[in-house]
Amino acid sequence: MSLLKVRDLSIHFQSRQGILEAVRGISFDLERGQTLGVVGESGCGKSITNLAIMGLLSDNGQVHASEVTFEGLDLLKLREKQWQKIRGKEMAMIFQDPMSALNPSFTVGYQLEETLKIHEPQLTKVDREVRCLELLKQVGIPAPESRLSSYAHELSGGMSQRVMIAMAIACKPKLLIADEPTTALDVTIQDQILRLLKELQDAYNMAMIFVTHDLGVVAKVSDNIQVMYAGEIVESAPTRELIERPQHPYTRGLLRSLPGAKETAFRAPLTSIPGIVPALNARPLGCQFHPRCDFASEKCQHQPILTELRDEASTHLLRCHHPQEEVL
Amino acid sequence: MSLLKVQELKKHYALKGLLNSKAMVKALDGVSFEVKKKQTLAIVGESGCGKSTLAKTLMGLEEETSGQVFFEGVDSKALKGKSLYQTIQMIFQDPYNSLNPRKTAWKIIAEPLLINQKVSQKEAYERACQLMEKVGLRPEMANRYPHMFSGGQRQRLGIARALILNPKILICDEPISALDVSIQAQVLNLLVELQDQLDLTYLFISHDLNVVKHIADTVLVMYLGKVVEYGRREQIFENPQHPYTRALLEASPNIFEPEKEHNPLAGEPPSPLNPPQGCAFHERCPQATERCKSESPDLQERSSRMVSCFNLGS
Repeated sequence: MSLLKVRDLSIHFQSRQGILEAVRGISFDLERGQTLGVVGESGCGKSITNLAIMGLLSDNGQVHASEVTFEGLDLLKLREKQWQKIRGKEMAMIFQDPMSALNPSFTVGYQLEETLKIHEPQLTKVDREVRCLELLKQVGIPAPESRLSSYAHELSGGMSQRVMIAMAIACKPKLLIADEPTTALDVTIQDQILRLLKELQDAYNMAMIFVTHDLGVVAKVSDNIQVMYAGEIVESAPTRELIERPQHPYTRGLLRSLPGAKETAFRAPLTSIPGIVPALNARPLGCQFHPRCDFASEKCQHQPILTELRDEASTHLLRCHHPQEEVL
Repeated sequence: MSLLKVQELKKHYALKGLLNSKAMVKALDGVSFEVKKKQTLAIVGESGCGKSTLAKTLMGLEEETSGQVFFEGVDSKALKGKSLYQTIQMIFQDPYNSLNPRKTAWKIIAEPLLINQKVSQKEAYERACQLMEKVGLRPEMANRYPHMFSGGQRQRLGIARALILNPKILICDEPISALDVSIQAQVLNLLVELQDQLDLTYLFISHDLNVVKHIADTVLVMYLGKVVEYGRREQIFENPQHPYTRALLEASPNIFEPEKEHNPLAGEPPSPLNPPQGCAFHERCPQATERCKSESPDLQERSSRMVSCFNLGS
């Protein structure tokens, strides 16, 4: 049984402009110990999807789905009280901006201990303190004893993210959602954090959903990559497969637009995707990408369905009427 | 003659402490480089290394503590105000906060012109419209406000504003890092096109080494206010010498190349408030020796680039 199973997840927001469909028909499975990379541009619904999975969506967001289960537990029917038992214990989340994710008025130690106090009431205060220290050591914080009494403003960005990670793994969650966890960090610190997450994942057999807009980072950490566009999954495949044989014109456009490929000559124009992402209140008919797509045809007025490519040994899902098979 | 020459530029900020009132933050500590006309110099380094202070000092927004800046051989001190702004301009990272929300597009673009030159409103409007076309915006959009533009379009507005005084040098401070991936390539292509059309010289501040590799002729790697390596693009990317440059290259993810086996660099950049003795990088350096703890290396020519490290072998 998959750890997390999502079927036909849609998220709607009531707004003055009417109902906005932020996310439409998302389905995927996540196995234990696996990392799913989610790639997409701002507004494509990647963060909202994860908030919905964590039960953290604001009240004006309506979640519709035929199934969202975590270890067989139906997440759609949970009440807030039940959510509180799972959140932070079975599944945890880390965010983009670690500096503002920590509470500025409490010490690091207090905030770490709080998680343990709620989810592991059998621990005594001394046990908790020992565990906090272990956690800080585990995430590679130098001089952890003194850091327990530090406040958020006394930590650098990298250190704050390590503390956030320590809080997230305090109860050894089965699922960790990382929403752009390294975007605010410097390259060498990003490198350290990615390595740390990988080590923790191996140690706890933890599944991860890793959301980012940085294709280089996602390729480094993920087993599978999901590409989202305008609230839909347009392509999903194992990492190397997706990078080496992308078939959706959007995925191909993204990959081609990246500088750094061997074939791209110095200063040569990069292939760019014309146009911009559609606004949620002005979605095009049919395929969401067709107004920007070079291969669009009459057919694209009708929404393509996310289907599995047949002749593949691995699972490669694609939502396109005109898959491009030639190698990039 | 180089278009821009910077010699031993220093910018120190005095700290207003209660006890140690003499404390100094050395944001720039002896930075020297040259840029030739129509070339791009990339400035690379992590936050706090002095990249932005360098940009501000060159723009005349901060006064240097010591050192000299020459534009085409003329000392920048002789170029006050207007003539400085007609030589060097800047585009910013965040296209959302760097445009006045209460001004229309053409006014934003034409503002430097109206301030620095005697032109009529009509002329300014026309010049702004011409530039809008040049940066890929339709002139019909001239009367719209910034919020009616997308991120990429706003960055184009910022570029047009920087170009209206026909500067020779453009400082690009992380110009594409706030944009969506599919838009980044558009803006990068535009910058290259404009450089060729208008013979511009770029100082390109970026943390994305893939972008730097794509457009920079020369690369300046900074660490804690100092230059650690400075040389031509091929030298830096194909044969980096400084351990920090090497670590940066290893840490930068590139989707097209299999990940190099490496150990992440330990530690974090030291605080400029409390820099270590000796080489600023020694605490994180895998090759540090006793000497690195006490002495600070000078920038020296090695394997046809400048590098500041004691342990380069021969």
